[in-house]
Amino acid sequence: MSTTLTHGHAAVHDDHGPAKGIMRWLTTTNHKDIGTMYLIFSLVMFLTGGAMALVIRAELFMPGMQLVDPQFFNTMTTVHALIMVFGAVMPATVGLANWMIPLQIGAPDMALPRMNNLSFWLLVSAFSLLILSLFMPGGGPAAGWTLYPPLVLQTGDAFPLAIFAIHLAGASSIMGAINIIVTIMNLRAPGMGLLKMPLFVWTWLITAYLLIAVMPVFAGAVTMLLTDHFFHTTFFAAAGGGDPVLYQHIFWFFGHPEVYIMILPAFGIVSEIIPTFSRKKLFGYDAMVYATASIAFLSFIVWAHHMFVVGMPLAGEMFFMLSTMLIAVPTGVKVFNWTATMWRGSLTFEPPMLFALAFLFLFTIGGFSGLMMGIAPADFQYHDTYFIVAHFHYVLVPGAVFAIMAGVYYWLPKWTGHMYDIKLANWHFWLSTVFVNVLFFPQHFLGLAGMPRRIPDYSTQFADWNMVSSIGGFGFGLSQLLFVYIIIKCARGGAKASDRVWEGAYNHGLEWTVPSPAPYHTFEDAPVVK
Amino acid sequence: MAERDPTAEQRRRIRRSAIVLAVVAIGIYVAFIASGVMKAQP
Repeated sequence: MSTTLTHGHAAVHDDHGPAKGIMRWLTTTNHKDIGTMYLIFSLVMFLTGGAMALVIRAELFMPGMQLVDPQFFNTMTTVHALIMVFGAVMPATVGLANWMIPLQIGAPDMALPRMNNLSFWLLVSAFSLLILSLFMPGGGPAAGWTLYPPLVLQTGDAFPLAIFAIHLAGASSIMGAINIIVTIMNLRAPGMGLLKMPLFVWTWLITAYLLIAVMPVFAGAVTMLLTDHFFHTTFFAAAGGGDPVLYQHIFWFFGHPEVYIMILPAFGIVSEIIPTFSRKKLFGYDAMVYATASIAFLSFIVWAHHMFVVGMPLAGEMFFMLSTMLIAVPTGVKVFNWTATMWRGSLTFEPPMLFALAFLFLFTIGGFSGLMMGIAPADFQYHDTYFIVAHFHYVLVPGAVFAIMAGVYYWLPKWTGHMYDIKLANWHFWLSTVFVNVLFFPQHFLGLAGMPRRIPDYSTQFADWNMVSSIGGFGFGLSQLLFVYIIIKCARGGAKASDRVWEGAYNHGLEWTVPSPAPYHTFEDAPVVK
Repeated sequence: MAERDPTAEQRRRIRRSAIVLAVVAIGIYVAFIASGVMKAQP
């Protein structure tokens, strides 16, 4: 991107700040307020989903049934996943998008601010319903986050609540995506061509198109589940001419791009941080943009690698195996470019950079185990074992979640105007990194040894690594309390952050040209990007 | 919204793009349910 900037930000209009009290948060149309609400919401959901994960790990601490009954255990695995995917990771990246996209493209706000407010409150409604569904007769949804029929059709009174919650969350995501696209396409500062946009903006633009393409697919699938349950249709019932495997195809046509919806913004965050702390420009900017677009395109033609064991023609298995392998190419381009950016850079290791580096190593581990499972004959061995649990948690926790934490540590001083406690943040990093590996790495061994996923009890041969994994789980969970403390402490006060915040942030984006904390209204005079 | 409001032309383009994207999303939703209807014929 171009980094020589002139901008007319001198006139900061702080005279009409936010409304007072609760109405500020209920009715706000300010992108910074809404970004903050998304981030707080996702943190609350992260802790809620995390508590559910701890129920799972506590039950699996040793063989035998200790704490919860199997039905509740299944509810925990299901709702943990739904909350983490739709309530924690996605809203966190939407929160970062709300905060940073207008600041990075020099826009005064999102293009559709009222719809922005509606998107957020729809999401809150969705997750209120989903959590309330836990208390319905028959318990919460327990068929896994994939909601495969016919099992999911046995859900009790929670079923319509969960389906409605998914529809609301989907509508919220689509509205958010529309807002992001029209903002980026229409409100960029003069001189900021598409290939001058920061990588975070690029990755979000592509993610938004993915969201619009696949969220309606998921909504369609769960609508068909709803009519099968209540209106005696047989979309997925073989007895009536339907096909349960059709659901799997539709779900994964949504589900695989969904993985990239969570990880592409993470790529964008890391692409912002590594150049700043390497004090260099991003290596291969254009290649990074094309690689992101390639990954998004390929995400639509790999879905059946989630279903190799369902029984499909050999040609189908070959196609989905090879297309899956192909994703390694643009992903490899990205890893190469991040590494090349650091090459001969003047590196420093502040918390955002530490998390970005951990992302680089640990996401790559998740990528490699994904390649292993992309090999169809090998997947027959790994399928539905703890190996897949280890794989996707490596992609999503030290992958997406670490990148989000890196982003929070990177931009938090710009949001609050205070520098956080670096020493505590370093502690948070090291505890998280050690425990996340203690938690998830042994699950590779468990999976290779044949331990199935989604079971509350297991054979004694799996006892040792399960105990290690549970210790890691509790360690990781407790470490996140430190994250909450660091954020609250920073929001309440601390050393004043400079406008540029990071020494290496010079020439790395428009957001560093506004004061810290960023005023309630920014870029009221359009900046000019040269 | 801040004082630098979008121009009338920008507003028109924002509204038009948003409507097109919403129609695409609804179209995909309907198309996938229609594909289910066609597949589920006894």
